[in-house]
Amino acid sequence: MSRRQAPRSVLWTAARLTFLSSLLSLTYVGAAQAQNGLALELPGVGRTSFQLTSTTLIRYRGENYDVNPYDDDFFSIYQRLDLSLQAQTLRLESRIDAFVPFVDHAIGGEDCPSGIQDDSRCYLDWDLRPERLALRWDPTPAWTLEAGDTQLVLGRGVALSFRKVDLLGVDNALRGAHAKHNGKFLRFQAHGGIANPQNQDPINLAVIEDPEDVVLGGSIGARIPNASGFTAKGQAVRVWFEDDELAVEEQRAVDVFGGTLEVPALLQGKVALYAEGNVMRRTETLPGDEASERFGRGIYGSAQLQLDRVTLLFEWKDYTDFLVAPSVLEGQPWRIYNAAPAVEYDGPQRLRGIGNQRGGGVRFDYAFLPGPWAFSVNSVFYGFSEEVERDPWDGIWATHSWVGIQRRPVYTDGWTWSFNADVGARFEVVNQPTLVDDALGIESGDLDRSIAHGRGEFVLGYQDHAFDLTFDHRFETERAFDSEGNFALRPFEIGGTALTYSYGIKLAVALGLLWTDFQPGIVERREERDYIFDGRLYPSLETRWTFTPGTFLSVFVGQTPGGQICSGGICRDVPPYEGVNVQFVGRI
Amino acid sequence: MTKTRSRTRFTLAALTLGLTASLSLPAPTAEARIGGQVPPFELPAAVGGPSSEPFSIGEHLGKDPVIILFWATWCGPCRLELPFYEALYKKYESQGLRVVAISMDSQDTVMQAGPAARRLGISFDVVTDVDTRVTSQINPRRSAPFSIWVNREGRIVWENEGFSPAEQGRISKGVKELMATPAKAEAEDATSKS
Repeated sequence: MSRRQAPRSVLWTAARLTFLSSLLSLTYVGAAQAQNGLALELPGVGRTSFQLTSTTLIRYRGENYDVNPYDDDFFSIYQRLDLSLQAQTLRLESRIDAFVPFVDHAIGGEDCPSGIQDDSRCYLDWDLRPERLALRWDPTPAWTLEAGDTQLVLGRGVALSFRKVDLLGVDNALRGAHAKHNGKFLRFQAHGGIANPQNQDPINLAVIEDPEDVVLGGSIGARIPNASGFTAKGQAVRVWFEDDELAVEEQRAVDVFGGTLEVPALLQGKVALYAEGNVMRRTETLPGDEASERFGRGIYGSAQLQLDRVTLLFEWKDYTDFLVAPSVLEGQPWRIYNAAPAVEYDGPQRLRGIGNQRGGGVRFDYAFLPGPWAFSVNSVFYGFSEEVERDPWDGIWATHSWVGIQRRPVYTDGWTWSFNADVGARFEVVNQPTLVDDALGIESGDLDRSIAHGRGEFVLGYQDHAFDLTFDHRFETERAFDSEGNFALRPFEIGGTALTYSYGIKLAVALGLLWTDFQPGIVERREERDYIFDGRLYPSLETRWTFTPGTFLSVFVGQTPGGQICSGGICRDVPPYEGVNVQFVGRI
Repeated sequence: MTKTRSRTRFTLAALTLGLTASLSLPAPTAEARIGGQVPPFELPAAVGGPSSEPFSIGEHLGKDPVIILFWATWCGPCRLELPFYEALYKKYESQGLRVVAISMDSQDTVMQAGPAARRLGISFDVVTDVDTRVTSQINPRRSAPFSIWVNREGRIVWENEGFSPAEQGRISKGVKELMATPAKAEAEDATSKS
């Protein structure tokens, strides 16, 4: 659905509200009828049950401290319905998304100054669409045939991955035809269709247009029974990318060919091996020029030793000029159709050059079983370059080490407690300066970025009462221009703490305080508002009341910082948020 | 914008918010999705985890009570929930209770799922769902932790998002009731005998 002129009259607003209310009414009526289970007996299909999950989110968004005055101070309603009909071998599922912002400065709105109505600053708009629709048939336990939207991953996601990444607000599916066979010997899957990312961006509330990117992909292989689960597969992917008005290149496409070898349970399950290798060809055309092509590779391997108390995991990655996206420097996270293992710390850190890096990591875990304590030691080392023409080892070296300690809860009739903590440090050092680096006076061996991080959680429970205290903090440096025009290391800090009290299954109250000075401009703008708190602090209060299991109402009041949010090496800039969220989730 | 129009819009907005809030309140006797069916699925065992064979839910539906737990290595409350269900599993395993933990970990952390479950002292099945196909079907909001209880008739009787140790009393009571519910065939047999 493309962007369109928003209707301007009050009547139109009333019509939208009526529609949304009707949707909610149907939900309610459905819920009332389904007290004893809503099941139908359909001819030729058999007993078919209806299921529904309804999410209603009423939100007031205040100031977000960016330079755009047209996306602040408004109410909105987001309604999502996940519906399914499940029979013995057939399943029909659908997800309907609706969004209504109560704002004058929507696309084409009255408050958008003349001349900027098509400007990206006036981007809010109402939206209603069937976001997901799928019909699935399982004719035998081994076969699955599907038409519509589905999530899928080939291998470890190096070649192709359509799934959800919550941190980034990305929820991608492939809309088309899908077949999967998991036989005793034969393993096969084939997919063809058009990329269908979730259109309602939950982070900035904009509506994302569907890219008309066409994807074909699949794998075929064999699993040898009684051979420690040995499985070998070959895989292929072809993606045709829709031309982008912001990109000069046209007719962009990638081809990926590769294979995987897996032995998950060697030596009675003590050793697990996995290896995957892929070759990529990227083709594109510049206006008035002939088509050009270049090649990259995506290799990933892991070896894991599992003893009674010890786990040792080795991982290796070599992603050289390899990203299933319109370009290796793609800025739209929802158009990146692979997610190769990052072999890094699982935290919101910024990773650069994800399509051009090589190196490995080792993880050692020890559990004092049957006791509750365990600890882990991790270290990774790799090179990367954001210039894809360069070898990853000719750019920047990254090293990261961290240790963790864990005490799991032991449940008794009395007190229960658990504890988790980890601390670590990460450094990026220039190996071979680029021409830009040279111009800025950066030399080989200079520190380019650093992070020292720590986080912990303590939980205490007694009968119907529980307290959960979390804390995390990062000291970081990155290169930026200072007030004197020097491109120097700039320190900043990011962190937060939260205390949650829970009473039975009914009530949870969380008091949070986050902090960051990552973006000095935002700190200054917040301080101008004369907050009780410092411009770097973001307090919040969240309460959740559960009516019955699965049906709850939660209310969030407060602020959250923005900044650069990253997951698996894919990053996006998120503005700060302040406001009120009221969310109701109900299930039938 | 005129004052009249502002007022009209404000009234409409307030009415909608009120309507939404009232409609969204659950019916007085509402229960959690009683009667739903779980689609058939088979998922591979988490590498290095407590089990090594794939878990096929079709082998248990309609026979055994099954508890499905969605979790992830990066999820704090999940690390609290799994050991609690392990205690319940030990208590009711001999009566047929099956528990399966479905890891929602992506390719970045999926290798850590099995060892993480072992460190938590888990002995029930732990499987992975890297492409999130099963997750998207029965946990459409992709919450973690998220628990589903299926009774001996193969019908869903409980769904819940989140976990804290404060919930152990309510869950213990619920699982006891789940185990006490006879299979449909057994119930009919008992009725006919009486």
